[in-house]
Amino acid sequence: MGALVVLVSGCGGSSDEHQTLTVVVNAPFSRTPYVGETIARGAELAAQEVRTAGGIVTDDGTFDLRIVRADNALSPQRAVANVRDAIRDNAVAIVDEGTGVDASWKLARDAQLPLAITYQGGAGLVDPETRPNVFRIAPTDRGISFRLAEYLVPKGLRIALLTDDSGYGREGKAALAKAFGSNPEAVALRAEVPAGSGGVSTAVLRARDAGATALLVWGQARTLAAAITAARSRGWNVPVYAPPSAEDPLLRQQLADHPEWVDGLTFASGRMTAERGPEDWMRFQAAFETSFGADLVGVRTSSGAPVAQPPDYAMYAYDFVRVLAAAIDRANGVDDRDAVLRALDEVTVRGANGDERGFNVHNHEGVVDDDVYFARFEDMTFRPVADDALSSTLPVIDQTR
Amino acid sequence: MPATTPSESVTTVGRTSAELRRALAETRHAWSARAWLGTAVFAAALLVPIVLSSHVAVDRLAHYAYLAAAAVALGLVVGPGGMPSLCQGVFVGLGAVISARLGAVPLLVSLACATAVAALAGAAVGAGFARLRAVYLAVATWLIAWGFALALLASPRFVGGTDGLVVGPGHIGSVDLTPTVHYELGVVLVFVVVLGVGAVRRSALGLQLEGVAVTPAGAAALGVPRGAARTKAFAVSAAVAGLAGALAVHLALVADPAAYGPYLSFQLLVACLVGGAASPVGPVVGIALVGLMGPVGEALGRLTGAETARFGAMLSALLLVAVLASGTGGIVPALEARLRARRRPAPEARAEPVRVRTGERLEARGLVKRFDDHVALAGLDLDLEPGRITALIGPNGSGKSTALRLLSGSLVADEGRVHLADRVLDGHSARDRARLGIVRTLQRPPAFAGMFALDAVTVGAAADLPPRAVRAFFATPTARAGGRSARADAHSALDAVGIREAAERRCDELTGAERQLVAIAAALATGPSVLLLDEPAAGAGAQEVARLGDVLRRLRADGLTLLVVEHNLRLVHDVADVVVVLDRGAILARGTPADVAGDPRVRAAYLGSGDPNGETSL
Repeated sequence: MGALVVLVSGCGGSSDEHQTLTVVVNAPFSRTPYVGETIARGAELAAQEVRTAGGIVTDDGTFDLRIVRADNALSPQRAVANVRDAIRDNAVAIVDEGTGVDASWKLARDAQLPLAITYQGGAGLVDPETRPNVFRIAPTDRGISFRLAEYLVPKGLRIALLTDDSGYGREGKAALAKAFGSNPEAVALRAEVPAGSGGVSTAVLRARDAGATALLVWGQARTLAAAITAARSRGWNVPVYAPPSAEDPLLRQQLADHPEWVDGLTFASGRMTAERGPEDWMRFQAAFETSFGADLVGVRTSSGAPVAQPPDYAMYAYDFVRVLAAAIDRANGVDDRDAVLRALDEVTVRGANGDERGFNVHNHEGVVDDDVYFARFEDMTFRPVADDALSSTLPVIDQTR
Repeated sequence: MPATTPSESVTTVGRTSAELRRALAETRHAWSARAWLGTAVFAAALLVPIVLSSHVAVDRLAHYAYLAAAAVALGLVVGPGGMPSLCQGVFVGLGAVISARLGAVPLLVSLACATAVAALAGAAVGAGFARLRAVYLAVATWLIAWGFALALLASPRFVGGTDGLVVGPGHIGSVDLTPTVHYELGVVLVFVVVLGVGAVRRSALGLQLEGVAVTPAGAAALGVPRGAARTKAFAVSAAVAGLAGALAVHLALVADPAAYGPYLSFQLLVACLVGGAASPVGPVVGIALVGLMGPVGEALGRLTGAETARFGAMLSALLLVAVLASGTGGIVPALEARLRARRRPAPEARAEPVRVRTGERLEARGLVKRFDDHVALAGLDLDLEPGRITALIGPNGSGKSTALRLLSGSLVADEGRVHLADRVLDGHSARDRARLGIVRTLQRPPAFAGMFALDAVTVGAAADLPPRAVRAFFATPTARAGGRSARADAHSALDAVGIREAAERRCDELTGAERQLVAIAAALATGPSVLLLDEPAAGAGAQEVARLGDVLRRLRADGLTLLVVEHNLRLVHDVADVVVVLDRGAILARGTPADVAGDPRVRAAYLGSGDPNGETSL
């Protein structure tokens, strides 16, 4: 029956005397494919590079990494079940989108299994004291929301804060409450809407009636698209701000009939390029596209050029798998899982964009809060804004192919 | 409440131990290869995590065990109840959410609360919708499932939004609920629920449910409490689902609102129908197959490069279509039908005199019934005496059946009154009148399709028993005694109509005349004082009519009050003490068969010039 799971050995199955270690990607492949695919491809690219480099050589043998995809369908229950499967499969780590981590981290901890979040930025998800096996390489909601407040409040806008009831949206709501807590006069309205399209129109109209001069919509890409549609279709040309979910190609696909509605949408996200310059990032992007092809959004610019999505979120999963490989190397194998966990707090690698990636016993966040920039859409591609000190220094990444 | 005296306690203990001894004896008698198989499967299921610990996903097995318990409980509603409920997932979800919200209280308390809330919700759904026909009930419960899912989404503060409510694994006493413990609990729960549902099916409640489902009009004529029985079935089924959900949430570690949507209810119903709701074990097999659809769907999706997430649901639907198209009623009932054609007779099948009340005088005065402009009855007066057979005859459309329905309470008179002895029956429903002893059979004998003759008659015997669901589920001495007594009465009733040998035959296999006798036996099993028979000889041959005549004469000799609406005038001539001839809603003639036969008005208006075969000649 369905529950009978024949174990795929997570540790063993030699090929040229290499042993294979399983890393499970627990992500919403069926519900938000862009997020799932991006995370999985980042992890797969790193695993591929480890293999190409001859594997992780330890006294216990040489290890390759194998990436196994597990669809959590944005369901915390399925996410927990996937973690149980990963433990049963003797996986060495879980690369997680973030859904259900509140319920699953203890299971992973009891199995001494590191769990790395590479998408969601919720405040309570990571805590080295209470959740020593949970790591994150992704911009935190706290960092994004404070940067948004820092960026928007001086503009004198009256902002309607719309969040959806997805886990992502609820975490964002909490973060925005703190970020805008000291500037209540900047907030015209706070409203929570169901994830997706239902009920968003009403909230947008309420925002207009409340005198809002800007919308900040924190939710899934579908929610964001619905909010933009609701505003623009009523002739309300209000500026719209968003978290990183605005990058999701789904948003541009949903608004493909009205590319002008996407123009001006401004979002906050983790910086793609490091201070040292864009070369590392460009190398990573080239390797990514060599392996998987360009991640075409499915829309075109006004000149007809196909638009490709930069693999910025793949970068985080990629970086974690490389940190993991370094930790296994430091622990000299995987027999002592506790040693691997400890080693994760000790090693650093040079990340896809040239930044140093690593953790320590006091900090399991791989992206610092300030490392958030703003980008604005124009002609279905986005570029760093000019009216923010950090963003204005960043190069434009070509997004056409 | 009065205190129990020591002697009463001793009596209770004595009764209980006697009942236990009897239960053991019955179990020994009924023990079969099938029982050995069931026990072996149960024992093997318990050993799975020990023997195959490294090869199975115990947590998933536990999850499916809890689902199986909910599906088996749903089988009670769908099988004997005949109600295709599409909201069982709501009760699972309620149990889960309540248990998760009560995470701070001891687990047993939260389980009890979750079970109770689910049972109340089930009772509410049953009270509101169980009277609906199957198709409307399915639609209504499907809407309830959607409403529940939307309510969860609209209550993020209560259910934690899409992140759900995180719960701990929980513990009972010093035992931590690990996935293995959950699995063992789940298997035991399934086992208990299978036995419990089996016990309910054999109880008065089960027979009432089945009677209502199989032949609603027949069951109503016998006075079966349709609404109460169905509501209690819903409540029991929901309680089990709530308990399963409450346990499952501690396995899942999170109450995920998305997990309790309409698809869960659909899955549970599919499991019931695929496995076969007619057997308590059927839904377990159904859940196993539905569970298989997930991995099979994923494999197919990978092979075809298609989206895997929806393959499982699609395969479940295809499986359901295949089983429904086969017309077998599910996998397990189909297998059972192959393995055994007949049941083993019950041990208590002993003959005792049929439980007939002393006949009472039934009197009707000035009964009028109009259907729009048509006057079906225009002031009927009738006097039915104990120990006498009154025949009501007349051409088609003369108002005979209308008169019978007015007397039995299934139709309300526009004018006139009915008295039973000194009691005026105004405002008494058919069920009330059946409880007072006025029982009617139908013009066409109820098919009781799929039921054994003994069970069909037991529906009548159990009609007046209180449908106590919890007692029936746990097969308490009282419930067992009630069921046993009903079966004994049914045997006696079959004896009284002379078809004892048909007890273990399915009603579909009987002739029309035998089914009429089964219907009369079912009416007799209710313990009537007045029996109203609507064309009992319809379709019977000469020998069968003679047999029926003997039955009626015996009942008259027992002092029963009998009214027979009949076209077969030979039977009327042979058995009737008084004949009342109706024509166009009014009495044309009244008297002995000889008097009526000699009345020229009757000959002119009804008999015409006579029948060369003698069938229409008194």
